[in-house]
Amino acid sequence: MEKDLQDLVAAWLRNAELQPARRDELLGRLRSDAAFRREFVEEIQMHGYVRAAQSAEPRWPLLEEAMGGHEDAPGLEDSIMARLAQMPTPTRRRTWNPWWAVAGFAVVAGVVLLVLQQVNNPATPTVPPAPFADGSALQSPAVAVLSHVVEVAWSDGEPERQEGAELSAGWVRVALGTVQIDLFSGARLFVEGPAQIELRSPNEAFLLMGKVACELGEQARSFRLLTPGLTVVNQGNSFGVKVSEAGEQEVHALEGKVVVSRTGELLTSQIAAKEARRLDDTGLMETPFRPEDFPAMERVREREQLEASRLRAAWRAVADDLDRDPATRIHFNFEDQSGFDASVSNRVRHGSDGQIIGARWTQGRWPGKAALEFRGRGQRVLARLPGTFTSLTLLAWVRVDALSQPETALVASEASPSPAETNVSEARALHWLLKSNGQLAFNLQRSAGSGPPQWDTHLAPALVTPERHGQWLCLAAVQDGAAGVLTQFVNGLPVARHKVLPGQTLALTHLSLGNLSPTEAEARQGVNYGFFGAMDEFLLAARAFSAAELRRYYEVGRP
Amino acid sequence: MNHDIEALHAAIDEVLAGHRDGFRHIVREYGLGVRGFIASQLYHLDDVDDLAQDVFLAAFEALGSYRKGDDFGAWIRGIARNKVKMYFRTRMRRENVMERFRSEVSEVVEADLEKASLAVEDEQLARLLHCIGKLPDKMRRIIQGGLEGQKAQALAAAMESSVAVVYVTNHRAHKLLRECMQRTAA
Repeated sequence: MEKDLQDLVAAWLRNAELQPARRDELLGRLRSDAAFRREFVEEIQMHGYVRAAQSAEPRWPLLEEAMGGHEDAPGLEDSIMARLAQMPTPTRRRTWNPWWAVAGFAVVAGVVLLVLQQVNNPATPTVPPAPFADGSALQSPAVAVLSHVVEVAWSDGEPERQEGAELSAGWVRVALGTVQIDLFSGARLFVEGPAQIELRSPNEAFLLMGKVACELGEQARSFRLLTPGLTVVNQGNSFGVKVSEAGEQEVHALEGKVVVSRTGELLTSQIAAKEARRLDDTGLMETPFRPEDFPAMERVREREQLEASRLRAAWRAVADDLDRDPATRIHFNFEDQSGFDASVSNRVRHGSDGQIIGARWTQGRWPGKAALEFRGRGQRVLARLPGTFTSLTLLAWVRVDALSQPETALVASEASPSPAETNVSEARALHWLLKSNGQLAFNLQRSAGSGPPQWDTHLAPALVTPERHGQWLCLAAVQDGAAGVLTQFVNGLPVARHKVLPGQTLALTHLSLGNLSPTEAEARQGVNYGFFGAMDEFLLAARAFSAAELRRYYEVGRP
Repeated sequence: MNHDIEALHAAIDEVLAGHRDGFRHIVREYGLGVRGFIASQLYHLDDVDDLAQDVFLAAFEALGSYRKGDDFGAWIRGIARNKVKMYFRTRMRRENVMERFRSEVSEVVEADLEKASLAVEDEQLARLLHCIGKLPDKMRRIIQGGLEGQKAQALAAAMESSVAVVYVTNHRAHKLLRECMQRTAA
């Protein structure tokens, strides 16, 4: 056991104090050395399991206290059940959750699959397609954008919202961390968890609990923030409001004066700049002005940078693991590149680097992480990958900015590759596309040979819809050649499964990312396949990744 | 973790239909995993049990938002992660630099710990006590004693050895336990 590991474990187990320099040293190694991190995790994980297993009947001090002391304390299940008796029965959530769309579309995809199968088998009566079931009809118009998310843990049961998501009227509950919400009225809210805030309209929000700093520029129009006892009205300045769990409420005039009234009263009063008031039974009383209690843009940005570095390092460690997977053929992680590079480095030896044609370097999922931006016509990345494949996984982290044409190419291999290049006369090409309605399409060439290629199209539900444009999405397609199954994934979840001919061979010798040259006939009709968005990771592996692998990779890679 | 998914879904349906007794199944199935996950990050066993209790109560409240087909172990560990983060956050405000250091370490290893938790099968955990029983005497004493706080020094004194040797022995014992759990699972 090496010294660093021993010191870290001892410090973790409260058996040793460390000097600041040593702490920094160990933290640095933990961040940069994946093997060291894994060994430490194995150590503390086993330690935890041993502790838990050896005290198999846990003590539930809070429950026991609540139930009248330690004597004759109830067992684990009885303790939990006694506590649960005081809680309302949980119900299935009816509020809008964006992932319902995924689940709903998965159902639709199943029906699509059924229909396709039935089409292939005319003896079976055709099942009519299910009604559109993505739940998007339930979504009310957006009132704000979630502009920044810093070290956030969402409250239990809240959807895992991503930066850039549009927010409809409704509750936002943050357990930890800070979010920046930009309302369409121009008001900017910094909400620090734990907090519960209800966005009611672009001009109004209600803070039930937590801390909010509100910035109102000259452009902001008539915004007001309500609490259980107060109404704070926009005067074109910045203020902070906090409501404690016990119901204590304070308003701080961070910049300029603030107009405030007690709920239900017409009488208003002003709080001068750099002063604060708290609400008590007799009214608004003076209280010390403490601007440091509220989240500020500079501090939020600083913490955001730190969090981004941490997330990026965690993703990079797992991404590097994939490079050691012998099945990985192409892995463009877009890291360690300069803005002048004309090619994308392939992190594995099997395939070529990517030649950039027209696309430009831009920021990826995290600050400092590079990506390539495609702006439609002509732009693409070319790669060469010899050999043929019966099973494969394609994965891409992409930001779709628009789907303005019938079909947009994500990845395409050249149709009917020369048998001399593949050594297999029946090797087929593939096109992985996005349809204008947000459907993922996986087109497999029907048969290799002369003449215009024919395609079998496998469609996933329309998930890359406008509300997800501008967000980073993890798209994947997995062909399991032995089982004859093709599965498409969005953000780590399977959204469509199709039967394909087992054992059919794919050729990916000449690959194009982000574009596809139209045929002459298509060109005459103005057809364009150019991608309008950005890509900051692309992986191609010669094996079928499991759903669990893809889910984990999405979890570690999401911004 | 591999659990009986059908039984889990049936238990969830029962709870959501108002038969909260179904929640016993969930506590029974996931209790050890959740406590082990929390105990790997927290020092006081009382805090571990408090937090585990909070996790199950929060899971009960949020059960309606669990999506069938998702990994329930990962879902409930997500709740546990939030609770641990909040625990560290509240501690950080009032405790010393070492607590802040442990909080930072916890953040750095979060993804790896989740990955490692996914890789441990339920049966393996169930065999842990059996595997501890098969360790050589010296190792078993260290494992059973634990090394938190000043226990390492006390163990070293009792065994007429050094703290460094105690740590190395503990490290080897963990490797043997892991091998034993995997071997018996095979």
